[in-house]
Amino acid sequence: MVTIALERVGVALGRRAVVEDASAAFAPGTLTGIVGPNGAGKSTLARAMLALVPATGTVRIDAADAAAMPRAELARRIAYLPQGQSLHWPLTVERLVGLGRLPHLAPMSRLSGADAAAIERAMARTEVLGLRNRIATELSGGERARVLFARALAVEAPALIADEPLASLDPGHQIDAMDLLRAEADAGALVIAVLHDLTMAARYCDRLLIVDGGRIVADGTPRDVLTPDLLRAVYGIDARIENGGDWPTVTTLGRVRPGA
Amino acid sequence: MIRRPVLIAALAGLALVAAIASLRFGPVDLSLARLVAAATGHGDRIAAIILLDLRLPRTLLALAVGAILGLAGAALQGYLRNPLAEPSVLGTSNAAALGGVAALYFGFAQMHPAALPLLAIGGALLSLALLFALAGRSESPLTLILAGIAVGTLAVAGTSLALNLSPNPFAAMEIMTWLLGSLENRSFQHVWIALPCVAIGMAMLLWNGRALDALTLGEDAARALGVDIGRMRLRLLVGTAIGVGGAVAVSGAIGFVGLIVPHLIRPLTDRSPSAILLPSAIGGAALLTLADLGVRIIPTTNELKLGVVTAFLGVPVFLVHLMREKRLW
Amino acid sequence: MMRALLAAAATLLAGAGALWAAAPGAAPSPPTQPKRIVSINLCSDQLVLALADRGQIAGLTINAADPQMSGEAAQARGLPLLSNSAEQILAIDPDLIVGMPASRSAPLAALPGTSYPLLDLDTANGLDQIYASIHQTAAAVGHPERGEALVGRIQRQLAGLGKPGRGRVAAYYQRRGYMTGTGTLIDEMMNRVGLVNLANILGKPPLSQLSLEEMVAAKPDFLIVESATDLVTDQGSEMLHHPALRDIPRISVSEAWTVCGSPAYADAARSIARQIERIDGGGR
Repeated sequence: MVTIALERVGVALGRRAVVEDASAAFAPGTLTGIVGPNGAGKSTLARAMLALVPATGTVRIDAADAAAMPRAELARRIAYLPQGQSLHWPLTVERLVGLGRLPHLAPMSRLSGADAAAIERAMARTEVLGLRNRIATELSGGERARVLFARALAVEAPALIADEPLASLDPGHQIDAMDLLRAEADAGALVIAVLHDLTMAARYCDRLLIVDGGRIVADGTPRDVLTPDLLRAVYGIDARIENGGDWPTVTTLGRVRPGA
Repeated sequence: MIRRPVLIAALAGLALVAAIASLRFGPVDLSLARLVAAATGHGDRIAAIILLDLRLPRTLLALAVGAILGLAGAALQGYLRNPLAEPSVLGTSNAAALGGVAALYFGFAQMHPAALPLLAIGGALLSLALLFALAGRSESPLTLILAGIAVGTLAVAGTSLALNLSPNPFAAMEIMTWLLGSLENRSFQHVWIALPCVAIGMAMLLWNGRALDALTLGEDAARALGVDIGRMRLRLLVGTAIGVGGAVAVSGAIGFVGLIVPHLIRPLTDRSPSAILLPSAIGGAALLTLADLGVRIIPTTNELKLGVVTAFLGVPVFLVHLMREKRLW
Repeated sequence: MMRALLAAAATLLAGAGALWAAAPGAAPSPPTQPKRIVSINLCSDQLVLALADRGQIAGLTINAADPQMSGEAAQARGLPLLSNSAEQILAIDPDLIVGMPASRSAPLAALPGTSYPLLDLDTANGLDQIYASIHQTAAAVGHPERGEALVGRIQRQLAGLGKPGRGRVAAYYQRRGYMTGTGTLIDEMMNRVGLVNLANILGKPPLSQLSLEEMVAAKPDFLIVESATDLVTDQGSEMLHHPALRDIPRISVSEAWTVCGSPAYADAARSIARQIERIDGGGR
């Protein structure tokens, strides 16, 4: 179990403020979606939670300051699935998923039986056991995304931050991926995902953070935050939102022309 | 893929065979019996001097210099995620040679024996810092290679200039040795200069195996897996500089060992950066010892420079990678 | 070593015999006492310095004052030193140019339209040639009696040397393992003090390369090295300090005395003889 809290976090890349004055707290067992237009600062916000970018304010992980926490310690508490990962060496799938165990290895030790079991579980959950001996760089986009997902799951951390885990996945695999994130949260993990598909986000997430211009402009359940006014303000679109079903669905109607 | 213990044992066996051959052959033909007698302390004085004062230090240096060059190539490739990275391609060896030249020809080496390796290490450190600053974060292999060419060319020009400025009328001959490398006429004095540097450098580089593996996923993912990138970069920089600097101080800049060896080793492993580190060190030791044996056996009036042999082996490997990478550019 | 190569090349070019006034249209003989003598070769520098008045000398080579290279460096100080330039020679308008040989030197080749009185000396590979050069130079600078006196002095110095080498083997070992062979001034000098040249035993040419291993295996009684290599200044000289050579007694001679067939020949021979005696005295 782990908690993450942001206290007035700001990130500047060069002289440009990418994230400003972001405060939020995240609890175990919830799946939170971070949504917002391109360039809004979603990924940077996610990276700030992992202390991957220098930030003002404070990120607390279980009440401890993340910036002062040893990297290995942080790595065992939060698993991270970066956006569109490039693979630099042609490793086998099993070896690649095994990289997820690095935070748990003592110096100069080898993978233990427990590590091997974690790797198996992760591969089983993303259904890549059959790809075990394939070279990861030679897989299709969907297969590769699942393998990288398995790599993040293999950490078996109490928290998972995934940056656009649905990119390059077909609709079927998108649902599989969101099912996996949901299952992680239901099993007690703290899960945060940067997402683009609003309907997918509304369907699976317990809570949505809407980010625009580096600020958190809305924070709440999907039904509460997804309103036509907000979508017009943040995305510049006209949208119809149907709240009648099990989850809200968002249909984009058109672009809002400036001055129209 | 070969199982790791098998691979390491095979490479170590090859290095051992190369070392024995290196002790066995030289310009003076000594019978095996005479050499064995000399090695066990019962031999004649001449055989003992040739074996223990001439061939033994040369063999030890070939093993040590080859090991650090192979390992530095493997480690730099892992860190920069580029199969073309290597101390000579990146200009590190030439910069170390520049340091060594400065130490020797402006008299610092006579003031204190440590000046030679220290200045060579300094040269290597400076070039790596410059290189990482120029291209360390670039994802394009081309940027890195171009930056390496710039650094290396600068170092070669500096070496020529230093030799021309120095009060030495034999500069041309000396430039050749520094830029192409040779282990001719080395003594135990050189072994004591190089060996500590190589040992420290190897330890610092071998330490990075896991961090390099994590870097396969990119810098962010590696840091999220607990890798302290800043410290790893420092270890790599300093380890490469100390190891390669100490080696170049006694051998001159020998090119391409760090390119050839990981290229040959990688397909025999699971291809992860950590898996090629130690095998590349042992393979490098074997390769350079064999190359040094080659320059003694190939009949030339002047002994062939080691860099000539390694360049003939290395340039094709370089081209293979270039062809493969072409689509990226 | 480089200079030894140059000297060898010069020998091949010059052939035997001195060429007098080889430039077309030159005066058949120089004036009895030339007033503006220019020497364009390190070796002829030393002869001119030994035989001409200082006032007669209008130019020497740039290396004449370098004690590492010139046996008469002290006397050369204060005299005009020329870089190898045709312009400087034109400006001086010499009435005698001495070289080894003078007629084939680069600066004169650049002045095809001019004719100066020339003295072509032979590269000396033996004592007789040194004596001949001394006589020729003495006559050309107008002081033939000084030549007679100098030759006499050298002969007296050499007569007192004896043969301390007693038939033992020596190798003249230079930077990067070059070894001086037979038919050279060094070889004659070795014979004069009773040493046998290792190159002669191994059947090597006038200049050959011998690896450290081969040198150790040949185990000469003495190594003769150039004093410039007594300190390790580069990789070329470092080789001569390899521990594998530590057991071979070492004789160190200034290259300034041996590079030219000059009056310093006697100094070099005497130095070698003295060092052999010292090694024999200390070794027993």
